Amino acid sequence: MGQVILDKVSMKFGDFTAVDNVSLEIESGEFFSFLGPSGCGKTTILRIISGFNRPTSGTVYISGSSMEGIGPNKRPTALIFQNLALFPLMSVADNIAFGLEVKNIGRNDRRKKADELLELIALTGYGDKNINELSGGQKQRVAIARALAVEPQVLLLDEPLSALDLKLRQHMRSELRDIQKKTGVTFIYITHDQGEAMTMSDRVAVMSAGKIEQTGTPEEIYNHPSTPFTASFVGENNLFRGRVISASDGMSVIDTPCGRFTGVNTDGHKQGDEAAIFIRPERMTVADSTEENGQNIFSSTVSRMEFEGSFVNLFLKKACADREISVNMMNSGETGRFRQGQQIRIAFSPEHSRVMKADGKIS
Amino acid sequence: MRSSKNILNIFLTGYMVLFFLYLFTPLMFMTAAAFNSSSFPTFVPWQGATLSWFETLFKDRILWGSVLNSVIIGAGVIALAVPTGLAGAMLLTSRGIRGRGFLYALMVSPILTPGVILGISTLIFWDNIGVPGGIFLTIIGQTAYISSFCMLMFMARLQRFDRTLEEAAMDLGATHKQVFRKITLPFLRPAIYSAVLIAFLQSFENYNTTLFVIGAETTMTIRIASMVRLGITPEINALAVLFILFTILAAVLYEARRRDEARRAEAAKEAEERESDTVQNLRLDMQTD
Amino acid sequence: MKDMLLRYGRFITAYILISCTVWIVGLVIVPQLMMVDYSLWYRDETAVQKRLEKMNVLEDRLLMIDSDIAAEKYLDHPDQAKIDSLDAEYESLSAEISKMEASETSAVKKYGMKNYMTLFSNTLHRSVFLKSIWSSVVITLLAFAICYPVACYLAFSVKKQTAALLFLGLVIPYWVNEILRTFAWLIILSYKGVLNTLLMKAGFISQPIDFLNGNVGVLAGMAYAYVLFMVFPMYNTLSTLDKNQIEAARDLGASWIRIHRRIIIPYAKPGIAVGSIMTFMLAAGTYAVPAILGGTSGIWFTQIIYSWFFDGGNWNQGSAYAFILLLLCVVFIAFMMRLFRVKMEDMAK
Repeated sequence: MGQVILDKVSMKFGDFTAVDNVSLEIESGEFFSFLGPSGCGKTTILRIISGFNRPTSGTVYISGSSMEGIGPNKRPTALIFQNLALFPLMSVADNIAFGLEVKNIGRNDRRKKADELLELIALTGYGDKNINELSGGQKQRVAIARALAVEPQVLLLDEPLSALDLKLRQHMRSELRDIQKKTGVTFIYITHDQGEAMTMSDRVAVMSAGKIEQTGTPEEIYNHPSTPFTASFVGENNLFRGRVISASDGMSVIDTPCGRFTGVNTDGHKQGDEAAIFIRPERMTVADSTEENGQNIFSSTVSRMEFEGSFVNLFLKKACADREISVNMMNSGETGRFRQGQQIRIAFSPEHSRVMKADGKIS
Repeated sequence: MRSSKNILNIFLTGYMVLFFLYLFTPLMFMTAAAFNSSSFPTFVPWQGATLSWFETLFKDRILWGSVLNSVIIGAGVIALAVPTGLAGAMLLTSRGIRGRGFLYALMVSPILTPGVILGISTLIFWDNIGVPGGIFLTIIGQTAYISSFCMLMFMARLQRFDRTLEEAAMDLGATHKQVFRKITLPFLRPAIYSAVLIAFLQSFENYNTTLFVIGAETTMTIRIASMVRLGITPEINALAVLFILFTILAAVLYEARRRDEARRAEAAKEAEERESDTVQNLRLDMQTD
Repeated sequence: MKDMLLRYGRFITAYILISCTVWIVGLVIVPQLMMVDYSLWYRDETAVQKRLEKMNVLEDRLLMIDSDIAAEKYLDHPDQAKIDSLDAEYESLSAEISKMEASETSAVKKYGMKNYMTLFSNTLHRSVFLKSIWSSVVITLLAFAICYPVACYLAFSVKKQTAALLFLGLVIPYWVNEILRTFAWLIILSYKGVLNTLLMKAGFISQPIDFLNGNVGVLAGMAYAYVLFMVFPMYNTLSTLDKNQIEAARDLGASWIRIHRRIIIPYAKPGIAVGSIMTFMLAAGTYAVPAILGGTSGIWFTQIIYSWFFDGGNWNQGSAYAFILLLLCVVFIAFMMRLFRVKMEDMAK
C-alpha cells in the first residue's frame, strides 16, 4: 500500500474545479513529481495533502490513516513553500529548530538538531546568521533543513527552485536528489519545469486542468505518452492530425494531409476517429530518396535551421501539418548540406510514433 | 520658462515661511507669556522675567490630580483599544469576509463621528444601565473611536504580512496560538508600539468626548479648559511650555526612530544587492569548477 | 469566516469576533441607537400633571383610611370585619401608588418629533445651527486654500529628507493640545492681548478691539486648530504621485494651472476628501474653541447641545440636536465622497 493515497479527491472553488477526481498512490521513499502548467491544480493538490485546503470530496490517506479533519500542524508532512517562507525575524538556527521549539523541546536539543541539519545542508557555522544574510541557494537549503527538522514522513515541495537563476537551479536539482537519497523521506515535488521533474523524480504525474493525464517513470512519460496533452507538454513533439482509417494489432493507420502514417495505437481508438500522430523531433531522420522499408515518409521544404553545437534543429514548412515541424539530429559534421528552401524527405518509424484520439484542441 | 519656475519656487518658499510663522507664532507668544510676571498671560507689556508661574503650576494639586486621571484613562484606553483594533484589523484582512466594505465603513465610522456624539451616546447608554459618568465611562467612550485608529495602523501592517509565514509555522507543527505568538505578534510589534503611543496621545488630548462622560471627575484637558474659561493666569502658559517641550521631545525621538528604521531598510536593501552579488560569484565559482 | 478559522483557529477567531462585536455593536451602534431613541420621545407635561393630581387623590384617601382604622381600633368593641376591609383597601391603594411610582417615566413617555421641531421653532437655535454649518464649510474651504500649496510644496518642491523635517515641524503643533492651541489665540486676541497692545503701540487704533465678541475669534481659532487635519491627508496622497507625470505634462507644454487642474488635483482627491471630512467634522463638532474664543455671541451648536444635557437637564432634546449634528456629518461625508468619487477604502491613511 502506498504511503500517500489520494482517493477520488476533488476541490472546487465556487464554479471552478481546481482538482477533478484525482486518485493516486505514492510509495514510501519515492521522489514523486506533479508536472503541469500553472493553473492545472498541482499546487492545490499539494495544499490538500499538507492540510491547508480541505478537499470538496475524496480522502487523503498518509501512512494508512485518513487525514480527514486533521490540520496541517498535526500531519506527518512538511511543506517547502514557493517563496520559502523563512521567518525573517529569527536566526538560521531558530528557523531550523522552529518545529522543535513549538513542541517544547529544550534549547540544547534544538541547537544540536539544528547543527546536525546545518551539516547535512553544508552550512555548518551559519546557525547564528540572520536570514537576510544568506544567498538564494543558502536560503533554499535552510528551508529544506527546517522542514526536515520535524522528521516528516513526507516532504512536500512547491516549486522551490523557481526563484533561483538557471545555474543555481541546476545545481540545486542534484543537491535535492542527494538529500532525498540520504534521508529516505518521501518527496512530493510540484513543478511546471519538465527538466526538474524528469531529472529528479522516480515517478511523475502529468496534470492538466485538474486531472491527472498520465503517471509513470520519466522514461515512460517521455517515450510512451498516453494522452495528447502529455505528448505535447513533455518534451518537443511533432504532430499531424487526421482520421483513423484502420486500427488493429495495437497499431493504427492515420490519413493526414502530409500522407498516410502508421503508429502505435495508444488509447484504443477505432476506425474513423479524429486522431493525431505524435513523433519526437529526434526520432525523425532525413531519408534517402530510395529508402522505405515500412517507415513513414513525407516530403517538405526546409524553412530554417538552428545550430546548437552538438546537435542541429531543422525546421520544415508547415504546409501540411498543424504547426512547424522540427527535426533534431546529431551534429555529424555533414549538416552543412542543408539549405533553406531545399526539398527533403523525412522518415520516422511506426513504433516510435504514437497515435491518439484528438478531437479537441491540443496545446 | 525656467525663470517663471524660479519665481514660482520663491513664491512657494515665501508662502511656506509665512505658513510656519502662522503655526508657530501663537505658540511662541504663549511660551513667552509664561515667563512674564504680568498676571495676565501676555508678553506685552513685559513686566520682568519670572519662573513663579512654574512654581504655581507645580503646586497646583488639582491640576496634577487631573493629570493622574488622564494617565489612568490613557492606560485603560490602551488596554482596550489596542487589542480591539488588532481584532478589527485581523477580521478585515481575512479572506472571504462577506460585506467587507460595509464592515470597514462601520469600523472607521467612529473616527468620522463628532466626538460629542460618541460622548453623548455613551453617556445615555450607560446611564440606562445605571453607570454614571466618570473615569470608567471615559475609557469606554474614548475606546469607541481610538480602536478605529489602532485598527487602521494594524491593517496597514497586516496588509504587508506574508501569510505563508503563518502557514509554514503551522506546517511545522505549531498550534494556532503558537503561530500567533511566535510569528504574527513579532511581525506586528512595531505597529503595536505605534498603536500604544497614538492611543495614549489621542486619549490624553481628548476633550469633546470626555466632556460628556467624565461626570464629576476631571482630566487634564478638561481642567485646562475650565482654567482657560474661568480666569486665566500664566500658570496655563507654564503648562503649555512643558507640553510643547514634551511634544518636541517625542517628535524628535520619533523622527530618530524613523530614520533609524529607514537606515535599516537601506541596509537590508544593500544586503539584498550583496546577496545577488554572492549568487553571481557562486555562478562564477561553478563555472570555473 | 472559514478562512479565519483555518488561519487563526477557534480560540483566536472567537476572540476576534467577540471583540469586534462588543466594540461595534456595544460601544458604537447600540449607544447611538439609544441616543436616537431618546431623541424621539419627550415627557408629556399634561400627563405628568394629571398623574400628580391622581396620586395626590390616592394619597389623601390613604391617609383617611389610616385614620379610620386607627379610630376603629380605638373603640371598645372594634368591628373586625370593617378593619379587615379597610386594611384590604389600604393594601390595594398603596400597591397602586407604588405601581404608579415605578412607571414614572414610561407613563409620561410620549413618542413624536417634538424634540426635532424645537430646532425649527426656536429661532436662536436655528440661526446658531445654520451659522455652525456655514462657518464649518467656510473653515473647510479656508483650510483647503491654506494647505494645498503647503502639501504641494512638501510633496514636490523639496527633497524627501527636507520634507520629513518640515513634516516634523507640522507634527509638533498638531500634537499640542487643542485647548492650548486655542488658548494661544486667546492670548493674541483678548482685550488686553498681544494684538491689541501691538496695534495700539503702533498707533493704528486708540481703543482695543473686542475680537472675542463675535465670530472672528472663533473662525481664526478654528482655522488654526484644524488646518493640519487638512495638510496630512493631502500630503500623504500627493507624496505618492509619480513626479514624472508632472514633468511629462510640463514637457508637453501644459501650463502651470492646467497641471494642477488635470493631474495633481485629480490625483489628490482621496486626500482632499479625507481632509475636508475631518476638518468639517471637527469644526462642526467642536466645543472648546467657541467656548474659549466665542464670548457670549459666538455661540456654537455643540454648546446648545451641551446645555440641554447639563444645564437644561433635557436629554431627549439634547439627543435630538446631537442626532441632527450626526446626520449633518453623514450627509457631508456622502456629499464629499460623491463629489470626489472616492470610496471608503480609498480613504484609509
